[in-house]
Amino acid sequence: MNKPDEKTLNKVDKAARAVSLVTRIVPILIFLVMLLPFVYMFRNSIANDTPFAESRADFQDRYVFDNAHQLKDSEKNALEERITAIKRSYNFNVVIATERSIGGEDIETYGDGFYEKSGFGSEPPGVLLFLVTGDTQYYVNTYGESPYSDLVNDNYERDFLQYLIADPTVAYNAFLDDVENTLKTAYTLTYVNDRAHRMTNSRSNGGYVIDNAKRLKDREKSVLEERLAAIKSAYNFNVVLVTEESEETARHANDYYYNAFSVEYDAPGVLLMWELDSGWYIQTYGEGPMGGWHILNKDALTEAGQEYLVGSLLSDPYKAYSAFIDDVEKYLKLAATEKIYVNDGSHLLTDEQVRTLNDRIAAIKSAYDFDVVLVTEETIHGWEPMVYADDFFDYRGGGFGNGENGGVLMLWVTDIRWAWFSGYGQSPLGGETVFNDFTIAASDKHIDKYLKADEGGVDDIYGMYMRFLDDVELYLGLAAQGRSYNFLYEYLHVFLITAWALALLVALIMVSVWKKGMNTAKGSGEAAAYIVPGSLQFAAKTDTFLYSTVSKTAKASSSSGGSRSSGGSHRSSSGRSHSGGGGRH
Amino acid sequence: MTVNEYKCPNCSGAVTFDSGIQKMKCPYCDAEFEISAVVEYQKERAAPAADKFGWAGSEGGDWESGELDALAVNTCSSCGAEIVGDKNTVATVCPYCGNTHIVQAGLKGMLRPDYVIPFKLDKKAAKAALEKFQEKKRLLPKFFKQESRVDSITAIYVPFWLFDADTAAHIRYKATKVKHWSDSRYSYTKTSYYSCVRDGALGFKRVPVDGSEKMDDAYMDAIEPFDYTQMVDFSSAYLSGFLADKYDVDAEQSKLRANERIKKTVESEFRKTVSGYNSLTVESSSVQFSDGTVHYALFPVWMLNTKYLGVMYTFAMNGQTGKLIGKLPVDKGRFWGYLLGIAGIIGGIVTALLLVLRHVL
Repeated sequence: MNKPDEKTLNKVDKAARAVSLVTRIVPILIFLVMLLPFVYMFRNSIANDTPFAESRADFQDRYVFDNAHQLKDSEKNALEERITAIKRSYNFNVVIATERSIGGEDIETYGDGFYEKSGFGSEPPGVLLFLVTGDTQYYVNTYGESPYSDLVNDNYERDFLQYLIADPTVAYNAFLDDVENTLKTAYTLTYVNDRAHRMTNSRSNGGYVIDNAKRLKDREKSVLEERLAAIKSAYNFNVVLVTEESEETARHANDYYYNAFSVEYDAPGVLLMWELDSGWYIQTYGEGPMGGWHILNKDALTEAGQEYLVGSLLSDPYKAYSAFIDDVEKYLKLAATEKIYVNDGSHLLTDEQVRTLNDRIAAIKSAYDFDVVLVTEETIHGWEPMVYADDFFDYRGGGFGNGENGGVLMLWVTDIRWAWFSGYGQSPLGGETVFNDFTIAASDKHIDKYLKADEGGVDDIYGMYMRFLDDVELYLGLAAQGRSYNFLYEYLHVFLITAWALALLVALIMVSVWKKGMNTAKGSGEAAAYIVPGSLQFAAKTDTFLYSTVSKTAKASSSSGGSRSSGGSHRSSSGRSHSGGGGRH
Repeated sequence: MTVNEYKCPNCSGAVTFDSGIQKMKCPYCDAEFEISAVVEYQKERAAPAADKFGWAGSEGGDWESGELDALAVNTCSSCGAEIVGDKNTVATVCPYCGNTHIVQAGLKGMLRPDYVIPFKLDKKAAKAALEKFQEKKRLLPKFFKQESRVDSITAIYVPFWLFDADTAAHIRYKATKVKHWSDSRYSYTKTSYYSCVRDGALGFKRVPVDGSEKMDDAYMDAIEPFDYTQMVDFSSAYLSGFLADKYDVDAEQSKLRANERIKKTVESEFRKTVSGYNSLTVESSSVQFSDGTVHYALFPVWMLNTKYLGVMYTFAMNGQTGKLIGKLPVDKGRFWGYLLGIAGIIGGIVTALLLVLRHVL
């Protein structure tokens, strides 16, 4: 038998050591691989308890962060499902988060930070409900620029705190009910204040008629397109017609409107959406005085629309669309060319009152070549009263104040209870000259006594406008004589009462002195005349400080909630110079 | 060992030493005090003394022999006034009530005056002074000058008690200094409280108090002062041709008024020396009189009585200085007429001015 040589022995030894190494490492590797699911679970567990993660992806599309462990898994999942459905329908985030304690931090700062750092900040608009169970306090805030955010804020009135602790599932579902109802309402309103809802995937074909349901013949479609292009050219107003087979396949009207034209926010227009399986609705865009909401107000459009749309949209869509376009064009023409001096958008005046106001306005126009425009609106959708009033004056009816002396517009907005005065014209009798900061403030004060709804009384809008017209006549009458309505007109009664009171006081002092001189038989009761000169001497003369007290009183705030505002002299979007001012009543 | 309880100068609660602030602190009102201030204040509080009026000295003298025999007393049967004069001077009209029923009798029961200030002004001067007094009196009834009749003009020596006294007073005031400032949010007011003590002396010489009950005190106070440099020792010769009221308020009774006048003056003079404060209140006052002496003197007064619409108006003129005082009737119609007239003129001018300015501005 051959004895293995040294070389062979070395090889065998190496192989044996390699096998031994492998047999040792493999179980370790297997053990590590087996550990992986646990590591993963542990990692998820950490993520669950850590509110501040680096990105949205870390949360795997979760919306409920129950770090206070209030909810069972089944409850949490049910909430997640509802929220996901809301997200799908409205592209709106609803985030529910709980913590046992936030270590004394401000709940608002903590909540906002949580929302931002959890990756929702850069996403579509949303709302956060954040509860700190240890402090029994909660915080609700909406994020992102969106009408939905405003609506959620406006409608959010429930007091959840009692339920949040006792029965969180009921409370969270009630909260979701609120959010959902609010969002639903936002979709069904006939106007939209959509700054952010710019979604892609529009099925626009680039024109004004988006006939995805193929309800129109090509010839009809091109005729309609031509008419709509002409309207756009004449009135800078977008009219969009959309047909879709079903509500399911249709996107929200905003998608078609904004993506069809890449228009800026508030670009005026109207969209008629027809979903074959569910019906039609009209949505207006642009909230300024020349926007769809005010020109094609819901009364005018929906009432008229009922007749031809209900009657013939299904049987003869071309005819229905033509009638709709006729109507739109009629209102646009009216708004663009007809000067209406009393615009009662809030329906606060009777026909008789409108007639009386118009008669007075006509008389002022005739006497001073000065336009007076009166406007009431239910809402101006967050527009600044100054901008709205200026634009109304400059654009409605082709623009007011084209006479020698320009004119003035007085706007009353019912929902925010603001009155605004906008003057135009720099001639001696011009609106800007006559309605300066002082006279505007005076008129704003004069009308206040007619606006008492806020104090439990009743607004007298007609009385308010009649008083305003009195002011207009007074200011113009003075200006025509080369004078101006100054503080002595406004406060004459105060000056006179003060002057007469002082006159009476002076007279009383004088007569009292005379009366006193009638009786000189009065002694002083003192004996100062008999003091021995130099006899006054002090053995002690001390002034000792005892103590001091400091009291403080809060100063009255000079601007309590911005109840008055002055626009001063400014340029409106048309480039015209306006004076302006007004206030809340 | 005696433990003193210190009272809070602010609320009178018991204050205690606060070791944290090294001051006395009131547990009731939270006021803080320096220890020395509380101790001083306590001492001042503990030693209030009542007023003390110490009077001594002579009150008139005895008549020389024969002096009384030359004098007589004229008694008004209406008001009971007793008018003293020499036997040759008969009072025909009572200077107080104008009554003409005067009964003359011998004088008795009256002290001899120490001093007298002789008359320097005559009846003519008294009449002129009355006329001047009525001049430029816009509220005087229109016909007062024409219709009023000078019922009587009488020169009379009025009895006065003259009081000399040295006073020592100890008065404690509570005073405050107030400082205001503000920042953007609050207006602040700091009120510092002080205890001011004035302990001193003041001398008075010949403080007069009239000794006639019928003579209105206010009238006699008002015709002061008399020039004491012309005051001489009494001699009955000065009564020759003049009448003198016999005092019916003696020195003892008059001391009350003297005390009152002197105390009021001391407090007033002391108060003038506490300055620089926003408010000052007297917390305690003690005035002590010492070495008080009383003298009896006759001062010259012209009494003038006029009647208007059945009402008597009395005027008195200092027979030495010519100062005339009295009370004239006020015409209500004129009072209101002037009041409304002046107000109307001023108001009218201002109204016109405002209306003009309104057009000009």
